[in-house]
Amino acid sequence: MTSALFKKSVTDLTRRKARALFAVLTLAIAVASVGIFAAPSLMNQAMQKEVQANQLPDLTLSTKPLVVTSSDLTALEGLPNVTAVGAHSYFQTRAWIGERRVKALVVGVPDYANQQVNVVSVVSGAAPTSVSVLTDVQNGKQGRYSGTTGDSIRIVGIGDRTLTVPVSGVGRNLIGGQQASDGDLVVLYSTPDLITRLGVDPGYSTLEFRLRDTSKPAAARTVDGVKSYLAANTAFKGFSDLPALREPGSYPGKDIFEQLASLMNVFTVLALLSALVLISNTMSTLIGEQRREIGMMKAIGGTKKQVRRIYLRTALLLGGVGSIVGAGLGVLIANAIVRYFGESFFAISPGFGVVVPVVVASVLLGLAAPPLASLPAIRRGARIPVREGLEEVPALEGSQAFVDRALRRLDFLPRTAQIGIRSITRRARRSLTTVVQIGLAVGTLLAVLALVNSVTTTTNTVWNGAKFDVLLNTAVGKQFDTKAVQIMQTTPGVAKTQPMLTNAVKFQGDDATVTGFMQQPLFEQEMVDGRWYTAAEAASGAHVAVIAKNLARTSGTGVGDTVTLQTATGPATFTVIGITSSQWNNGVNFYVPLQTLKTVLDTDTVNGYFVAMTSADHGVIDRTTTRLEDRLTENGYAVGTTVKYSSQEQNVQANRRISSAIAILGLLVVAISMVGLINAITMSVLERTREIGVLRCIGARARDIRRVFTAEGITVSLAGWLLGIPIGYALARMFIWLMLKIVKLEFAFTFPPVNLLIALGGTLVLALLIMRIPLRRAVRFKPGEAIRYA
Amino acid sequence: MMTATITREAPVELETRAPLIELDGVQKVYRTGKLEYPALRGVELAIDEAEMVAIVGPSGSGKTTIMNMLTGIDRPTAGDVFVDGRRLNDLSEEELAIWRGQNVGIVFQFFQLLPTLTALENAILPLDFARKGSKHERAQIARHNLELVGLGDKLDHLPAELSGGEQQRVAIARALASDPKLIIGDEPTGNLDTQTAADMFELLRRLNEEGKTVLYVTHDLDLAARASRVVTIRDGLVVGQ
Repeated sequence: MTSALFKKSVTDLTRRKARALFAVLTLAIAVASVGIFAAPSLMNQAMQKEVQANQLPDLTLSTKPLVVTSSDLTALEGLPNVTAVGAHSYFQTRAWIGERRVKALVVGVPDYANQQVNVVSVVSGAAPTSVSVLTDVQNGKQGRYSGTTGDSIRIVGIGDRTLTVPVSGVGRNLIGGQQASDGDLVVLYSTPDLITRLGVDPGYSTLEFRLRDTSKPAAARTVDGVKSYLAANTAFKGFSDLPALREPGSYPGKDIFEQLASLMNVFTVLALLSALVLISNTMSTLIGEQRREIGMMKAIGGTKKQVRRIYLRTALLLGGVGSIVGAGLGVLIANAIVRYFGESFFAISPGFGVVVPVVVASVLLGLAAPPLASLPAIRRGARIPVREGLEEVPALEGSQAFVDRALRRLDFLPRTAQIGIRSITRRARRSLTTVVQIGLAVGTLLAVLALVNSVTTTTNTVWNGAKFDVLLNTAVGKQFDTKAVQIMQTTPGVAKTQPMLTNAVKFQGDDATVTGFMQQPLFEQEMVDGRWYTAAEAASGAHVAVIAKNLARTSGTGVGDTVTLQTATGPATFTVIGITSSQWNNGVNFYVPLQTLKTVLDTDTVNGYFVAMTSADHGVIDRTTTRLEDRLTENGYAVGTTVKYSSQEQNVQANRRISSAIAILGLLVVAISMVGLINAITMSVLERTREIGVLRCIGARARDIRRVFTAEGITVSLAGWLLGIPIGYALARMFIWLMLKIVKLEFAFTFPPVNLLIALGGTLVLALLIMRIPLRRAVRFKPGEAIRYA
Repeated sequence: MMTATITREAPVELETRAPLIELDGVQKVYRTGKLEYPALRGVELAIDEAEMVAIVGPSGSGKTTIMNMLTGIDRPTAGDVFVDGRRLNDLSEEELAIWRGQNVGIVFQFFQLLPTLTALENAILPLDFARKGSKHERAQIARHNLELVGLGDKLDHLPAELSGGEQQRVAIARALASDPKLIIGDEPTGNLDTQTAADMFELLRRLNEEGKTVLYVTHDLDLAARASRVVTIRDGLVVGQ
């Protein structure tokens, strides 16, 4: 038989079922949001399985097409520290999807049956031959190409070559899939023979290695070993890019996912705060309405300690139920997040997983939070003197305090509205905490809206400096020479062309890009410090550089500093003369005179051209671009294109998708605050049941009762909206700071006033909708029952 | 010798007016879970206009339940309730609320004033709900009623700033707002000291002299004796009147 005191702790919760339900629900949502912490771990587990299945390379070396025989590959596999070798050909081109021509990447895999590294697996259909292709599963998911076994696709080759090949099936590869997801292109898998048939020089573009020891020194020794072997046994002239060493445990896209998860954690904190406020409210009301019982318990011998224990137990019970429900919900939410990102970004189906430490942490948090949040109310309750507690007549509220007097001046409002608004000060603490909850929700909403706006504005700003319409680039095969320039300049629709050269480098151990521009580039740069290089510096090949602001900030580089960049041909030193606000290439860029970079990279050709068209009309741009591609490929250039207007739109859409995912999480906080508002109004209705009965006795109609509580709810919501404005401003600033820290991108801070109106409208509409539940209860009270309510 | 002729006038037939209140076989059963409690077992009661009636009986006898029947606060399980010619059983909850505001003034034991409204505002409230007259007219009526009960100088006081007796006076002023025919008090002096209770009763008596029908429930037999009629309730039945 349970003790009477324990039974009291239980029945205190069950006697007001609606209130207990709301409190449990809110706590469960907050505890569930802690489950988000499990998402990176679950994603990691799922991706490590994929990494194993894919045999992701630890080291990737890029070359111009290099003929490497199977004996060479065997010999390379025999090098110290090498456990497996793979080789692929890559051809960046276009393909026809119906009437549309899209960017495409064809990957040549020599032997599908015997892949050791960077495995392309067949999901359906059959492995391709030299006359067929496999389409990556992400092509369909991204909505670019949904071809499958039995379909055919036309691929544009070099020169006048075009091949129409059947699709043998659907395949999957982590790296290829990531490119299909991020790169706005269709990824196809075939054999090196097919790529050669498309006009590309025979040979492999990448050599991929799995290593025993993946440390940088060991990897560097392996690179030297490979270099030596290739130089001695093949037509190897040098790598075309820096060696890419994969960090242990990483996989394509891991950074982005973890960055997003970090942002999500902010909402977890907000959700928890909101829930704690609500629970504090709930316990405060529960204890407040038990004054007589507390007085009675003390009158018959109960000590303060015993009284405290009763309500602590009630809070623990609340926590117990809420944390179990919440932990379960949290597991579901974490798995849902992982499934969404896994399927959208990686085309994998992660299994169901549970991260036990996170579940344990969320249960413990859920258990601890209610008692902690309840401590102030429990302390107050335990201190109620016996006499005061036993008084029959409830203490009268209503005072001549400043706020009350100010509210009484609102006598121009209908009486029912006045009653509702003045009631706010009767439970000042609860009203205040409800205002804070709504303020948190409104602030979160404003901050998220501001972030979406900032991302869109900054993305557009990045592109606004681009005064070109198309960027032509060539990754493999012939670089752009004078013949290419002549072709470009004589293509109808082309107004202006300008060369550029770009290459990957290492700076302070991290990846960066160096880009060689003309002195007046068709990509305007806004200088935030220092200056751009002069015509004299450009002409003389001076070793001067302008650094992007993001990179300058993260590397601590300033104007006047000397920087050393590790290039494909070795280290090169520059003096920093300026800092630009450009976010091109995520803002990890150095800009140097074109001639200087050509000298550093020991080349007299370029791999890019800015092209400005004669018209800004999208149709003209598309047609001219097609013409350029055709003419260049006819003449043996493997050209890729970036159409500014199209890329800008896609960039904005992609950033919006991420922002939208963040916005959805913000709704968690909004949901909790709305539960808080229902809770507050419900408690107000329950507490004033007798008052409702009296009002009905003196002639109040149902709509009068509704107006009383609606006025209260709307006033609290308005106050919450007001409070939410400075909270939203501070949160928006914090999000921008977080984005810089995590994503290393500086987004321009914006806080559009129109968002305040959107938030106001949303708050009022939501408040009116959710108050319907407690109001329906309020008007259904029969006067007789209401008067007797205790 | 002269013989006196006695002329007899025809007897005057008194107009028989229907009672203001009629309870006809009223029963009320309260159900709590599996338990049933018959609060009223078939009450027959008629009260005429301008009567002052005290309803007495031990605790749990059904006094408050009868009051609730008369005001429409509760509905009978069986039987009919007529007030001023209206069968209350026929009215919906909404109609009852409106009817109460316009026809009945209720004075509760614990005053039941709205704590955030001033005395004047509490006294105006029924008129606000009845949407009677302009704001100015309502305020005038409420002011008059408060002066009637001796609180003309405490219009802007909150209930917390008034004594128990003063609060009950405000409650009476509120009950008079719509100038109802019927004033009902449920232990109206139960929470007051003797002197204040006497003052309160005097007020009710004055209202009765002005033509209002006054019903009150009381435990106080002395107070009950001062009514023109005493109705005794026991075990849910009228046992004496």
